[in-house]
Amino acid sequence: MKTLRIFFSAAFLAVSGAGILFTGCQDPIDLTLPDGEIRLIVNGSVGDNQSVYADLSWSVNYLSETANPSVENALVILYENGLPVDTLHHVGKGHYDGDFIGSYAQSYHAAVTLPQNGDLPYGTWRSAPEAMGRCQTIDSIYSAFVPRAPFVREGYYVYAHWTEIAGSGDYYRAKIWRNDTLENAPFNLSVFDDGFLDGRANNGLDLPAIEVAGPDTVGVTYTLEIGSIPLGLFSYLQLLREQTLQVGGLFDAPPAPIVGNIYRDGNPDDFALGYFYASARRQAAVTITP
Amino acid sequence: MRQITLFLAFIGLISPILAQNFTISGTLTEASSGESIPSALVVARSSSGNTTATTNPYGFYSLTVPKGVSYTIRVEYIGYAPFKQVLGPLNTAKTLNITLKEESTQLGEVEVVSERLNANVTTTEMSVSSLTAKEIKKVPQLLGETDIIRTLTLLPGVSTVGEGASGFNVRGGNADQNLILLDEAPVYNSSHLFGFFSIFNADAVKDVKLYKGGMPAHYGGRLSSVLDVRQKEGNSQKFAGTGGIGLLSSRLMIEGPLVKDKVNFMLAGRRSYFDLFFPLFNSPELDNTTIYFYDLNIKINAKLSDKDRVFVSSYFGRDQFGASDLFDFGWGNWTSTLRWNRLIRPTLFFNATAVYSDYNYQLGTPVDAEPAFIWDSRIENYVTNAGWTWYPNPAHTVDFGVQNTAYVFHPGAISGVFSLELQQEYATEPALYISDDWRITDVFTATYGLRYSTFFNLGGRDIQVYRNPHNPIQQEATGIVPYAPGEIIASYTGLAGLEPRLALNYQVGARSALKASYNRSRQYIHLISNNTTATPVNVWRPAGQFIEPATVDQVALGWAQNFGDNGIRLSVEGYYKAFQNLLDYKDGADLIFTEYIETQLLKGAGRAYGTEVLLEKKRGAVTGWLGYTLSRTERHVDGGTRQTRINNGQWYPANYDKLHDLNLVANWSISKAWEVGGSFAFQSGRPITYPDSRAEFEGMYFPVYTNRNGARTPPSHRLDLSATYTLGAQKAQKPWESSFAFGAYNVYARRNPYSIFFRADFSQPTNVQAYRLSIFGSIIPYFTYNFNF
Repeated sequence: MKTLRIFFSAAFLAVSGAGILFTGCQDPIDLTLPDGEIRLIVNGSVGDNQSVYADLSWSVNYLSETANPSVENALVILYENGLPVDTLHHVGKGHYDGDFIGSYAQSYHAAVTLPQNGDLPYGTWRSAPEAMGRCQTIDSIYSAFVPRAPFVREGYYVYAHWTEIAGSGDYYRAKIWRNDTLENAPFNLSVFDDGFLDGRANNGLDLPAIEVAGPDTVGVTYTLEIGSIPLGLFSYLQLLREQTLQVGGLFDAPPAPIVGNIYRDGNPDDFALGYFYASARRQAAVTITP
Repeated sequence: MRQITLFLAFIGLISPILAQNFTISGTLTEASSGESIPSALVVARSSSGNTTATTNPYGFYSLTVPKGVSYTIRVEYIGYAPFKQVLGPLNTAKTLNITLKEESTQLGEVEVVSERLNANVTTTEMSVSSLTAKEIKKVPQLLGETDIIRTLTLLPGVSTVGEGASGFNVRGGNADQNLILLDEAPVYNSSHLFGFFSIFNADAVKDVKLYKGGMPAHYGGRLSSVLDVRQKEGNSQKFAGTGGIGLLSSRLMIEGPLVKDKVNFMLAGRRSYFDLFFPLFNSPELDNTTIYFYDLNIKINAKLSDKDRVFVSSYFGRDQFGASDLFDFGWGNWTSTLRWNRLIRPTLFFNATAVYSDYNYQLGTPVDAEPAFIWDSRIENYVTNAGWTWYPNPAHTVDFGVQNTAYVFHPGAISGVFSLELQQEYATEPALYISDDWRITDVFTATYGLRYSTFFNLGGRDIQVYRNPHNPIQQEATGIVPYAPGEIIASYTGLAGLEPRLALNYQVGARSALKASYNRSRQYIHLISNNTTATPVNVWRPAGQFIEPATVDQVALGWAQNFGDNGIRLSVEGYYKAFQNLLDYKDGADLIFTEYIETQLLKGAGRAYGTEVLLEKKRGAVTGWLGYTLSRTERHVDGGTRQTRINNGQWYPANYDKLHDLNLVANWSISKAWEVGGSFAFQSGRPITYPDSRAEFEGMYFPVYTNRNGARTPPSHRLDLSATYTLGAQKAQKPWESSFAFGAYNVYARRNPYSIFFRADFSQPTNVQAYRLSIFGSIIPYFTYNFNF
C-alpha cells in the first residue's frame, strides 16, 4: 500500500511536470520577410444614417513598423443601382468623404481611379455591387452586477436585448465603444448570421441577452452598434479574424489571402485589398450604474 | 456483363489440372498462447524440390503437392524456434496443425536457425511494414505510452505534419487516405488526446501491418495505405495477463480459455488519469473538470469444429473533456466484428465478416446546464464481407470475394437552446475482388488482381442545385431537389471503378530480389478538414453529385537484399503516385456545420514521388532499423478562376512535404535483466505560409498571404532513450513477471518548430513579432511498471 502511495505521489509530480512541459512553447524569433507585390487598399462604406466614406492606402511589407502610406490623388465615385450618385473628396491622410446616405435594399458600389505615379499601380478598380441589408433597432441596453462563479469574474456587466428580423439570410457586425473609444483589435471583431436566431429575440427569455462587455467599473459608458453587412463582408471579416488570431496552431487552417470585393476593371484576377459595403446601423448606449 | 466475362477469363487463366496432387493443410499457432501466426512461410521439401505456402491472416495454410512422395515440412518465423517434421509418402489429404515455440533470445545463448529467414525476398509483397506488439514495445515512447502509430512514423514513407499531430501521412497521402482496420473494422479516428496518443492498446494487439503500396485486391476504399491491426485472439492454453501502471494511464489485459482448446477470450482495458489529480490543485475551476480517455478491447473466439471457427471482437474507446458546467466534449470509436472462418476443403478457405463501426462526437454544455446546447455528429458503417482463398495447385493461391460497406453520415445536429440538424447522408459501396499469387518459376512470382468498386449516394435528402454544377456557389443556387429514401442521388459505376493491382518479385540469388508493383485505388469518402492536422470535430462526407471519388495510381520499384544469416535486411524502394480529384478548400472556407459543403470545396490533383531505404537488424542482442526517405509531395488546384485556384494554378508543396526523413531505432539486450533502447529522428522543415505584405481594414492591420506553403520551417530532430529492468530475471519460471521501464522523450530538449507565426501588439499594431511554436518544449521523462502473469 505504501509502495502504491509513493508511486502515485511520484506519478502525480511527474504528470504535473509533464503537463507544464507538454504545453507548446512559443519562442520569439528573428525573421526577415521579402517585400510582396504592392496593392491598393480600399475600405469604405455607405450607411442608411451615415454618409459615404472611403480610406485609400498602399500595402507594405508585413514587418514594416510604419503605417500604410495613404493614397491622396484618387477619384472615388459612389454608384447606386449602377448610376453615379456622389463623388467623394479627399479630406486628408487618404480619407475620402461624400454626402450621400443610402437606403435599404438598394445596391451600391464604388469606383476608384488612380493616375500613373511612378512604379505604383494605376488604373480603375471597382467594388462588386452590394445591397444594403436590414437591421432592427436595439430593444434595450442595461448594466447588471454578476457575482463570482466558476470561469466568471465578479463585477458589472453590460447586456442588450435585440430582436432579429424574421427571414433567413441576414448578416451582421457588432461594434462596441468604451467611453467613445472603438474597441477595434482583431479579437473585438464580432460578426454573426441569423442561422441560429432567425426572427428570435435575445431578451433573456427566448434567447440569452447579448453580453456587451464586462466586468467593468461604475461610470463607464458603453455603446453598442449592430449593423447589417453583406455575406461577402461576413466571410471576409471571419477570415480576417482567423488570420490575425488563429494562425500557426496545431488545429489552425493554413493562411489564405483575404480578398474583398474590389477588382481592377476588366481583370477579375487583379484585386485590390479591403472592402466597400453598404450597412444599416443601429446604436444604443448605457453608463454602468450601481 | 463485360465484368463477368473478365472474371471468368481470369478464373480460366489460373485454373490448374488438379489430378495427381494432394493437399497438406492446417493452421499455424503459437505454442504458449495458441494464437494463430499469419504471414509465416511453410515449406514442403521433397527430392523434387520445394513447395511453399504463406499462412493467411488467420494462420491457415494449404500446400498442394504431388502424391507418393515423402516431404519434410519446415516452418520458419522470426522469434520462434524452427519447426521440422518428416511426412512419409502420402496418397490422401493430410491435416497438419503446427505449433511454434518461442525462441530464446537471451544474451549468452546461441541462436540456432537452421533455415534462412528470407521471406522478404521470396514474396511479392513490397511497400509493406510489419511490426509485432513486442517490437513496438521496445521503442522509446512519449510518457511511456506504447504507441503503434507513433512507432510507424519511424518507418520510411510514413510521417506526420508535426509532433502531436493527429493521424499520419503515407507516401504523400492525406491522413484521411489511410484505411485503418481493427479486426477488419474501419476506425475513423485513431487518436487520443487530439493526436498525442493512438487508440491502440499494445497489450491487446497481436500484430500490425501497414501497406504503403502494392495493396492486395481485397483492400479498398482509401488511396494511400492500409493499416491492418489484429487483436489478440486470447490464450487457448492457460489464463494469463499483462498490464502496466504508467504516468499517463494504466492498463490490464487478461486472456485465457473459457473451454480449453475450444473457446478462449481476451479482455483489455486502459484509462488515463490526468483528471484524478485535479482535486489536489484546490482550484474551484478544476473541481469538476474532466480530462481522460479510455479503451476497452474484447475478443472471444470459438472453435466450433475442426473446420469452423467463430470470432467476436469489439473495441470501445472514448476521450472526454469537460469543464465545470461550461462545456462537455467527448469523442470515440466503437467497432464490433463477427467473423466466421470455415475450411470448406483442404484447398478452399472461407472467411465471412460482419462489421459495425461508429465514430461520434458530442460537444456542448452539460445536460443540466442552462442554457443547454448539445452538438452531435457521427459516421456509421455496416460492412459485410465474404472471401475465399483457393489453393488450386502449388503455383497459385487465389483470393476472391465480395464486400459491401453501407454508410450513414450524421454531419451534425444541435439540440437545446437551438435546434438544428444537417441532413443525414446515406451511401453504399459494393465491391468485388479477385487476385492470384502465382509462382511462375522458382525465382519469379507475380500477384495480380482486380478490384471493382462502385458507389451509390442515396436519399432521402434534399440536394441544392446550382447554375454551374462544376463550381457550386451559394449565391448561384437555383433550387432544391428532394430525393426519396433509397433513391439514387449519384452513382459511380462503370470501368472507372476497376482497380488493377500487380506485384512482381524476381529473386536474384538466395538473398536478394527485384520487386515492382502497380496499383490503382479509389476513395469515395473524404474527411472535410482544412486544418493543418485533423481534429476530432472534422466530419466525413461521401462522394455525391458534387464531390467526386478520388483516385491514385502508384508504381513502385524496389530491391530487397539480406545479409549474413538473413538477420540483416536491406530494402530500397522508389515510388511515384499520381492523385486525381483530391479535395481542397476555398480561401476562408467555412466547414463547421455547413449543409451544402460543396460550396466550400475545390478539386485538385496531386503527385508524390520518392525513394525509401530501410536497413533492419531483426536478430541478435542488438536489433533495430535505420530508415531514410527522400520525397516530394505536391498539389495542384486550378478551377479556372481566381477563387478556384491556389497559388495561381501552380504546383505547390503539400502541408506534409518533407524532403528528408531519417530515423534510427535501436534496442540492446545487455543482460537478462537490462535492456536499453533509443531512437533518433530527423526531418526537413515542413512547408508553411508567410505573409507577403500588410493591409488594413478600418484601422485593423492584417497579413496578406498569396503564396501558400511558400516557405519552410527549420528542420526537426529528436532523440529518445529508454531502459527496461526486469525483476528476478535470473529465475527460470515465475508466476508473476514484472519490469520497470523508464526513459526520456526529447532527451536534449530540442524545440522543434511546428509552425512559425506572427503576433501583433494590438496597442501598437505595427509592432509585429515572429514566433516559433514547438509542441514539446523540453525533455519529458517517464517511467512505467509493467507486469505479466
